[in-house]
Amino acid sequence: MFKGSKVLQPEDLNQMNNIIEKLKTQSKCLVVLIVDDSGHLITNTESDPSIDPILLGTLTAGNFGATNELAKLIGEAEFTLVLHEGNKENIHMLAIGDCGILVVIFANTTPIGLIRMYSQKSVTALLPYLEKMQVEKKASKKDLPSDEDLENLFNW
Amino acid sequence: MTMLNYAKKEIICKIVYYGPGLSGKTTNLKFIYGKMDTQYKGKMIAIATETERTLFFDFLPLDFGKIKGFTTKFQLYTVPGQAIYTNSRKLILKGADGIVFVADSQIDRMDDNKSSLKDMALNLREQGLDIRNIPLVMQWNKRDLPNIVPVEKLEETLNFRKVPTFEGVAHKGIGVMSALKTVIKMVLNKLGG
Amino acid sequence: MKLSQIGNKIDPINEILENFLDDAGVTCAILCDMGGEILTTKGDITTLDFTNIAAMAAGSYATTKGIANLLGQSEFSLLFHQGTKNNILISSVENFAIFIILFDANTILGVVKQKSQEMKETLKIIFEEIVKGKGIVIKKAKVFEERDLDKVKPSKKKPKPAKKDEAEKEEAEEKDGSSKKFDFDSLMIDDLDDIF
Repeated sequence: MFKGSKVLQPEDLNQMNNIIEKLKTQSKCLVVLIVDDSGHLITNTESDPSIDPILLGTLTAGNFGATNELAKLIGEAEFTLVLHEGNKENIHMLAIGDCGILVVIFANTTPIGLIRMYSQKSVTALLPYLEKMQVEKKASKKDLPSDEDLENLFNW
Repeated sequence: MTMLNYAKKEIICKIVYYGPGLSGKTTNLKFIYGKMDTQYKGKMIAIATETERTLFFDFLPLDFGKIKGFTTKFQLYTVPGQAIYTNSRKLILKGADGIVFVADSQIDRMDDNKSSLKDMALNLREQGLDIRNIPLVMQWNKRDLPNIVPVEKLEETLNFRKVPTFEGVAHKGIGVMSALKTVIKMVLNKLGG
Repeated sequence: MKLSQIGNKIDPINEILENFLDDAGVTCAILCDMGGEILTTKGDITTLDFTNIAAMAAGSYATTKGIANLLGQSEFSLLFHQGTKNNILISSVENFAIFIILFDANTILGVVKQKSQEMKETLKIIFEEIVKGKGIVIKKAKVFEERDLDKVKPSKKKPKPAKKDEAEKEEAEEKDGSSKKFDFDSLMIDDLDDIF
């Protein structure tokens, strides 16, 4: 049962919600989202009802993925700061281990230093909960098909 | 990867439409978007170029409402087919629970189908997924065009796993809903098993 | 804008990029179309997989555009990513092109920002000339299937369960809070038929 799925328990979600609500209050940001590594929205702080959090989660996850790939392409393991500057709002994104992404949207009048500091703290606090969700480890290398296996699959 | 959220009583799965450029992946999603009742669908996103070629992905969230006490959601994605977007394809496959491989039936696209399938196998592996056992269906699209490969030949060449296949004319909706429904069943069966 | 549309105007564009490299002291600059196809590159790119960089940058830019739409602002004019050695800055010249600037820790971000802003203005003039001269229409890529974003509301609707007895069972479960277990055996496969 639950083969290969992630499981999120109510008490853990509560804890995560507390962490991001606190982040919102302390950093004076507008919206906080937690998105998992497949792009699924885990949770978000209450925000403007005109903003669809699922779409926002998908777009930010895609964006973060692209950014990470860019980092690799220019020879960085990861970017230590990912920041998008808009005319009203900015977005700051951080990886939560390799399990998910913390997305913080804030007014561009809010100091980035404040956002960075509290976001970093939240990531540390969130990591255990996200790791706990990962009930099943990814298939290990030896279970995955070798080059030879793949060649045999398609005998073109 | 499926997320089972006990707090929100919600189950979310990810289905990816894969295949060579212009094989009709986005057309599949657009048809589903048009066909589904409003209560079952969210907003569709298409990250595309100005010429409407997929640049990063398309996204369509489906919400089947509460079934057996759980809200069941499927998030459909397409990958960009063009060669330059190889990194994007890899990204989109991350955490996929099921795949619809959309092949272009035209004779002159057979090599593209083959290389796309191989590309998919490699990209899945990079995400820790195995093409030999991930829920997968195949759609032989563009059956309405002239100069197409016979279905038997497509089966023989591409359907290495003998997975369910569907003859498709995606813009008319032929073979679209049946392919989706089948892959969803396969994903749910796997979760249950 | 496509390379084929730019034609011989690529020469002044290259010149602008070269001047920018000198002024801002950055490692390299890549100019690509909105889809990530390279238009031109300047600077030291020999070690870089710039085709993939441009494709990824275009994806990154397009998704932020989608986010901006969702948040009700026109765009995120500047994407800045800081690494341990290399930094990257992505911005666009209206809907004409995307530029990607790579620079290291020795270069001052403020200078790069300012100089890139100036470069953007000059490039914009050239692109506008091309458009005007050739009568090209630059279409804006749309992100959402439904254009009217004001109507985007969170999906609060709760679809009714397909069968009545299920609704009752569900309510009972909700009351005693016992639905910790998800029943995969009597799975919703039959219910799917109702939906499709």
